[in-house]
Amino acid sequence: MALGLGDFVARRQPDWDALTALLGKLGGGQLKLPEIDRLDRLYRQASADLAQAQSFYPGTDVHRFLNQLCARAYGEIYRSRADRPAAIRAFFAHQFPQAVREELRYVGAAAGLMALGLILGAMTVALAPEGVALLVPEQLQPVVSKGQLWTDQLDGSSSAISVAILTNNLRVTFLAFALGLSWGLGTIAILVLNGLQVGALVAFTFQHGVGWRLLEFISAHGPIELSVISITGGAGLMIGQALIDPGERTRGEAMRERAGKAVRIVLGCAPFLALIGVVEGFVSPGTFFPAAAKVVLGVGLGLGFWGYLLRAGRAR
Amino acid sequence: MDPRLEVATPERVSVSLPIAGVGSRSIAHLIDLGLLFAGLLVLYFLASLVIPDMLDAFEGLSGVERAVGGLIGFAAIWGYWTGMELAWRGQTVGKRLMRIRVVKSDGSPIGVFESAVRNLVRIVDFLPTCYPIGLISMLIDPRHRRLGDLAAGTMLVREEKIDLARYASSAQSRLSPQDVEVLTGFLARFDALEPQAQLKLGAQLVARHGGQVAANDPAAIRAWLQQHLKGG
Repeated sequence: MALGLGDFVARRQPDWDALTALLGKLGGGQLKLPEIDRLDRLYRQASADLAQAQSFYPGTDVHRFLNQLCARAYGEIYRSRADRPAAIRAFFAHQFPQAVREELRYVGAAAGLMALGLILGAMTVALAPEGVALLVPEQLQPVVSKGQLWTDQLDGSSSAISVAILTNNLRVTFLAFALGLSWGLGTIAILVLNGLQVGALVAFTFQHGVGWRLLEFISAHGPIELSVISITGGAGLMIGQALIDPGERTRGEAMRERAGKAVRIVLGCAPFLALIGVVEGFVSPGTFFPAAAKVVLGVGLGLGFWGYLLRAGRAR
Repeated sequence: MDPRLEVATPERVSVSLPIAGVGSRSIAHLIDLGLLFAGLLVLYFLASLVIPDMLDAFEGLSGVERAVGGLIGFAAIWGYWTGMELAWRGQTVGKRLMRIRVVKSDGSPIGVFESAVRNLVRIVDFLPTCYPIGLISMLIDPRHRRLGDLAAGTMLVREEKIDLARYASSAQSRLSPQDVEVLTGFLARFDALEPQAQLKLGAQLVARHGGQVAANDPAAIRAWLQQHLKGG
């Protein structure tokens, strides 16, 4: 015969209170060695109490209380190391570049799709000028037709267009990843479409004699920006691939496993996207920095980025 | 029955946690939103001490400066959720008030990665406005997870406040655990009940335990039940 409920609580509650207090201290900071020893013992005892409550007092508040106490202690005691700040350093030193290297063929495929769009867009404008109306954003058409770039405008429309371009790039970057959920179709579409628009715009500006100035504008931030879009697009293709061909797992399982890696790859890109946003906002427009400086900066950043991705965390 | 998160611990017991529903999550979110709004209002007034005409100053900003400002604003709001969840082990002010907590799918506390992901994907859950995507996801998923939770491998569990003091009166009772649970539960809530409920439920409990008291005297009913718990 089991102990009466009231006696069980009366006898064991001091230990439960002690465990609760120790868990509170564990969250706050350092425990001394004997306290850790005690925590361990109290947790095991509470687990035994929970087993007893499950058998003899199911559905009572004591059962619920022990459930909650053991869950909390279990979470604190078996907390993984990956939660510490050092994990962030390890992530950028090893895991992120390694993940990108392992999935390089998806990144390459995404870059290829975008390049395909670029070429098609440029060819469309070169061979069929009426394609401009379709492929070049409407606000840009009158500006470029006058032989100017939007960064030359002084009436405030320049900033509106700059913001539109910046937000468009962010949108493309994230959509290319998120639309991987549509079996990769959305990712493919957005990569090609984005390439089409950029290719058409470049060809269009060359027709009006401002092509080199556009390339100058792009040169500082373009290399990393296009790389990041390729990488997040590659992450989207990974998810699409997992959905199309899950192998011997269910689609859900394959998706979860691949999505974890894909999300890490996208998160790793975030700081570089922020960096490049600053460059795009403050270095690329205007004539404060000479063209050569922009090109050197852009090439340098691009080489540094890919050098980091291809070399960091490699086992020697 | 509520959905529950079952975790088998290495100590060979199964811990089960109640999963938080759409309601408490929404209220927690509204509380946090109110706080953020209040914080931004205070910031606005503080800034207006320095810059007299805020609207005019905003109009004067270039597009890029506005975009950077927008990004800083986004980072600050995202930082509130993620910073709070990390500092308080999966809770924000709203979540703490609603007694819910974000945990990993094995019940352990969330880390930087989980919190960052679930709060970034919040934007997708919010689309196109006011969280329809997140709500639909929570209603479909048996564990009430929104897309951000699915991506990060997290979920929200309820933390109940349980007072064990009510069992003190039943020490050395010979009653079965089920009877003790019912009687102590009734006595703990006795004062909060309506007088009719006190009488009706009380009389039923007394009769069930084979006693007899005046049917219109709450104090007598309570005294008899307390006595029964101790000595019965």
